[in-house]
Amino acid sequence: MNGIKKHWWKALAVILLVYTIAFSFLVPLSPKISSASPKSLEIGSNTLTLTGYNTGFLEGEKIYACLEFEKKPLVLGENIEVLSENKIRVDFTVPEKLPSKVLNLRLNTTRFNSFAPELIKAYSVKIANDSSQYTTLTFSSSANNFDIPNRLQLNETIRNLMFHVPMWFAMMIILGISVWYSIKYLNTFDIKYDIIAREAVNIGLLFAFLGLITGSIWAKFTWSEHTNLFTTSGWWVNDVKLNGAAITTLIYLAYRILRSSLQEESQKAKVSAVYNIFAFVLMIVFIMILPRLTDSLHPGNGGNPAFGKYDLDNTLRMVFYPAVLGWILLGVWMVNLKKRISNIENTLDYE
Amino acid sequence: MNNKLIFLILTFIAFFYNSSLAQGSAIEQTMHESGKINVVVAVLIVIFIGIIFYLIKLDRKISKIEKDTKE
Repeated sequence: MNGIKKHWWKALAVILLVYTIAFSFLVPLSPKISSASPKSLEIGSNTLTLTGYNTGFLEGEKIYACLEFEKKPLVLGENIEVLSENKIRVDFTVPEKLPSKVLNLRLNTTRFNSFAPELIKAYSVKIANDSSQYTTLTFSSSANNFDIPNRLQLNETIRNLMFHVPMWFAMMIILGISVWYSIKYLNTFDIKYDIIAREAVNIGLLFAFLGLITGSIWAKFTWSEHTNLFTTSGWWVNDVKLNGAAITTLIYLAYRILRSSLQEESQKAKVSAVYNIFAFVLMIVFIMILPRLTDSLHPGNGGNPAFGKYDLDNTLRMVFYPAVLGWILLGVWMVNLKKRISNIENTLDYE
Repeated sequence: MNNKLIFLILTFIAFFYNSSLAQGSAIEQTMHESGKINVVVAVLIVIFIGIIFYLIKLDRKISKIEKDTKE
């Protein structure tokens, strides 16, 4: 009984992380139409070939396709033919007069085990400068059912939200713990607080490096794509948040160098505790404040706060918050283990 | 000795990072396959390696303490 009282949060960390990893890989990405050819529709008859992802079209399945404006159907798709599970061909006869230059393409299928017709994807049709042509553009919209949203460019990598982002949350909480114990050390001059502060910085640095590397890999295959949005390439994107994170990591590496450069134990603890307070303030400025002042590739920067309704949907929220808590608890557990070992080491040194 | 080893590993990683993941290479192609799911796999592997790194450090610290208590 005493064990549960003492160690419940470790069990919680494990449960949350298992839930996170299971959810991240078991829940499918929402079906989406990723491309259409031809890119433009003309007045008169058109044949569109739509290529999707995770759509799972079935041969002989009843598919409903229509061009619509403000949820009112305008042009119904005809002769729908399933080419493969992710490809269909639709005919549209576009009339001369349409109320808008931008139309949505809606696809519905009725699946055996679903009660309501499933919305596959909204697709917008745009009029080009030439009034006789309509240009099709992808428009992302998540389906109503329980799955992970399929966003432009991100595709499956949106699952990294449960791994890359919590690294930084865990780092900030752990560095917060570190600065808390540094202040406590400066109040009491008790060496055991200094040990916690030191080990927390070490674990915080580990999380910072993991965050940097995972972010670099993620950015390489999403942000560095040739799109009209960003034309960057390579492992490092010149983004305020990235540079801020890198500076933060260097500041905390300097903390470790400062510690190892001082000889006397109490002097080491005092100087590094004061430095730690400055380092924490700089970390908050570089990661939380500066990126909000300019445009950043990270969501929620350039004015608007993070966790906006455009970045997270309810399905992602259901796993993102537990994931953050799980990784934080794992980090605290890691600090706890290192602290206990350092304490033993410390008492052995005195004997 | 230890620093030299870390430097060597880092150089190797930097070299591997740049050369084998050049545009159009096999790894680059794998990353773009089936909705870029392999990017998620790579990220998970990195985190796993990070945790293993922590375990190795912990292991070395415990070994040192064991040695100290025996003396």
